[in-house]
Amino acid sequence: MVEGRTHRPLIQASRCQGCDVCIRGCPVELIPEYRKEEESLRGTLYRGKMGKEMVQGKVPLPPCQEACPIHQDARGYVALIAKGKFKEALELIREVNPLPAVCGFICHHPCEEACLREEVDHPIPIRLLKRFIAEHDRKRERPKKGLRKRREKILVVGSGPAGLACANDLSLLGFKVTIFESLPVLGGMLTVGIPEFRLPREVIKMEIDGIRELGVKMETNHPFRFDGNGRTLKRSGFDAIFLSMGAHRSSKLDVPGESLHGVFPGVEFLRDINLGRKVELGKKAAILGGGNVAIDAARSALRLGSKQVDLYYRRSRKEMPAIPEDVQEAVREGVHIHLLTAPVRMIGAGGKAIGMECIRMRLGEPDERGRKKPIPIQSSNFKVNAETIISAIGQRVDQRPLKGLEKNPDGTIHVDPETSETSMKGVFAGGDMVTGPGWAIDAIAAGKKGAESIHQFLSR
Amino acid sequence: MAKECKKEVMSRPKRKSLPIKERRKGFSPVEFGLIREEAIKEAERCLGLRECQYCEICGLLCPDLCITRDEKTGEVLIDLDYCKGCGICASVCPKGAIEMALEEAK
Repeated sequence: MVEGRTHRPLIQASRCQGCDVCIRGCPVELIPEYRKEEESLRGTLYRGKMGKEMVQGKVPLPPCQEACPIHQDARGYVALIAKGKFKEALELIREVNPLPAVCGFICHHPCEEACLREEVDHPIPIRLLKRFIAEHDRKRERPKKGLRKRREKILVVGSGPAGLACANDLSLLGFKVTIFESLPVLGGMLTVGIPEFRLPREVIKMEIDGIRELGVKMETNHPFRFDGNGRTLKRSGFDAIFLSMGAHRSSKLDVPGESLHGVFPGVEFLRDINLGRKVELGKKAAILGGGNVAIDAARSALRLGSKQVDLYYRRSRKEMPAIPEDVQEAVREGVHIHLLTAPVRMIGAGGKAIGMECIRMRLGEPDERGRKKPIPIQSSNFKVNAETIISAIGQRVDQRPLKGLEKNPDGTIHVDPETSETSMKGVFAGGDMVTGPGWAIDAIAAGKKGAESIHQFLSR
Repeated sequence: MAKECKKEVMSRPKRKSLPIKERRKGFSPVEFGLIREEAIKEAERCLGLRECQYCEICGLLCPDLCITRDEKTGEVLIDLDYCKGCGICASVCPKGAIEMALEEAK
């Protein structure tokens, strides 16, 4: 194939703009027989000469797509929306994303942060466009892929974004999937963690119904636990298990007075209101923390009748992990945000919380994760009144049903980073219970990765 | 060569949301979605739209020289009588504006 050549192309590194047109234009790669010729002369010549990114098939993705954990083709569906092809846009989204409507409401949109339009005026509202597409065609049925059926049965534990994504992908591959959910409602943190004003319940229901139509069995009020004797998988009657139980327990504050009446853990507080249980709130509520749970709890407290809601965070606004737009909305709704403040102890009277003592902080050196460490300022203590105190300073994984699985020091499950397999053979895990509390889209990505790994595992 | 994309600066549109007073009354959704016209207008701002920008890379790389540009209208034309379907044009188009379609048997 290289015989008969009279000239050879030389790349002048100083002038190459890396536009890739030469690579994409090279006809050799378009001839199927030549595509897989890593062992051939040409392959040997070129291997190592080109950077990893320049290898054929690795054409750089648009920045929005590169930024997305599931590599959603944002440019593709935005282009289809611009042309008015809404049906095709939804099909393109569904190719990789099992929960488009959910993402359209609550995704933290790394794609918009990467959008190059930022340099011209402001980024394309990709999340809202996805929401528009998902809502535009609510009733439309998902395309059913007529794939070959497989005999293997797979159990997915937990019906949060990771579990749903895994179940969706596995059933599209032809497996028989069953989801066990320990709560009475499906959706995991999407349902019990995110308040209704951010993600309406019918949106989650619509997505879950779509996945159920693929043939996924879903059983609520069905807890699952590991006995610690290593025979759980065999006894369950399934060929593989995907664990996506999430991180549903609030971290402890470790200050005196945490057990007073009127002090709520953040995740449990949100779960109670989302399940419709009655929660008694005082006139003045204090929220501790700066993540999404804290912001959601503060905004929920306002809606449940608290007259004044104060949020205390020990670092500055820049370090807040919550989505900035939600913080803005919370401030507009009347949540007072107090930065660089941390609680020292809760003050109670007759077993009920009446306030707390706080201390001012200053920011020190960044820690290993790049966040600046807060350091208390001596004798800057002050007291605040609050009848309700909600601590939303972090989430942990519930350890009780996970006997016999290898864990990381912070209580999350240890998995193989390549295959997401746990220390037990045939048991895979993903989502918040592996990474610690994170974004929905990362959980979806973990679920998809788990599905792929299970597919590989059972096809061996 | 390549024509610049549309880069008229657009001011950030005001997004509608639930009035603050209404929000305290219940848990109804705060953020409003886009309507059809808004969505199309916003989507058209994308710099990566799959629209021909008349860069003529396809014409330069065509082995059969069958891609030409109409000087009067500026339109890019493909002479399908001479095209042998190698697909290079579709592969090199930086905007992905050329698609290969399966030829129906005659």
